[in-house]
Amino acid sequence: MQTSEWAGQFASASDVDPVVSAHGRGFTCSYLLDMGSSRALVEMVDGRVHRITPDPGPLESYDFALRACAATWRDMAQTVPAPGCQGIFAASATRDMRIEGDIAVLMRNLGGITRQIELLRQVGLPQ
Amino acid sequence: MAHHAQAVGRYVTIHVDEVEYEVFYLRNGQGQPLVCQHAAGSHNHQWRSLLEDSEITRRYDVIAYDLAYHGKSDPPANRNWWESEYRLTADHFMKFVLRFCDALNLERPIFSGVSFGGNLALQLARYHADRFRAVLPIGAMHHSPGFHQEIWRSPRANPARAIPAAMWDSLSPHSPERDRRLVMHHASQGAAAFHGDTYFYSVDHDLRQELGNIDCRACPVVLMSGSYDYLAPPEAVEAYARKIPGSVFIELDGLGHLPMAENYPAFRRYLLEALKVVERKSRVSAA
Repeated sequence: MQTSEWAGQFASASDVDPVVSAHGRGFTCSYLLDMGSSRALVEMVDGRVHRITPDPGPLESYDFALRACAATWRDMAQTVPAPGCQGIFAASATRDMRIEGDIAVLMRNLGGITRQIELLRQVGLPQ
Repeated sequence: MAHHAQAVGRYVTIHVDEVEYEVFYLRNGQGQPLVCQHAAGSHNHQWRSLLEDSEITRRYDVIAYDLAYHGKSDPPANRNWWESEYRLTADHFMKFVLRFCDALNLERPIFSGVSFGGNLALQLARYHADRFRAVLPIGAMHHSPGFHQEIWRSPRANPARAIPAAMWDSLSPHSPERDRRLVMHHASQGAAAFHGDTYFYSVDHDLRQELGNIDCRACPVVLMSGSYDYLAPPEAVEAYARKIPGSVFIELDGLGHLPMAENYPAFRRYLLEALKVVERKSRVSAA
């Protein structure tokens, strides 16, 4: 799946997700998913996907980045992930996940972000 | 006909270093006391299923308390606690448990704790072995550095939402979502205490040089760790358990950091196994 096609599916899944919707008020931030061979910049406004930019350029800014190799993301996107791959903190302790940028922004939006990462188990990953 | 749970809640007043606490606890069962400590920033509902497990409560007097500042145990009754920072030390934490057991006239209870409660169980085994029949640390490490962070009380991070969400990653995806959501719900209620709890968890608790001095003949130690527990990974727990002569390690297959709260039906068979180990070691010790 190309990153642009993936972006549409990810945005749709997030916008109809009952957990993101129920707790989405104030879920406003921008973050980079760096998956090794592919990258996407996700911008959230009040719990809805405002924009997803596939393969953003070097001058694009964001609040924080989640970076790991393609294999780590693939393991995290399994329907039932193996131990150590169940989330970004678990993967940062056991795999090569790196959390960079404004950590406070990540933490105050962590419930929504965590749910969106789990949506990768349904949507899959861009190639 | 209304259904009532078997567990009954009460308050007891204790004094720890002249600080007065009114401690709330839930209790059900008979026989050997089994005292249970919840995780940081949470409360005793993490033990709710154990408290209603009749196979255990017919032989064990299960007592799950709320640490001060958590759940229904308020901050000190005789101090202007709002004028100082809450910061839990190992010494105060241990004394809190000892005074609580004294107040209930418990004779050599088994002590079980999870996460920072598990770390406390190791402290009690090291420094107060004579007071406990055994300890059952769950998701415990001998040293847990790196978690006493300002982010846990930063208004920019919204701790009441951030801390429960951070807990989520430590749980197993195999555990029922309803129970994992309850873990988060309970954690949101104790978010104000979490930063102070991590002072014990990450700073004051350090048994790296003391593991060999834990006497499992006086107080058996049965360690448990879930395969999804990245905070106390089974391989790490097993490694330090080898430095505690006579300790027993049980890996909890498919479970996470807070197994009794996130998936009690899967956890209970391991708990029963741990209690059998304690019974066997107690018989050997008595002989």
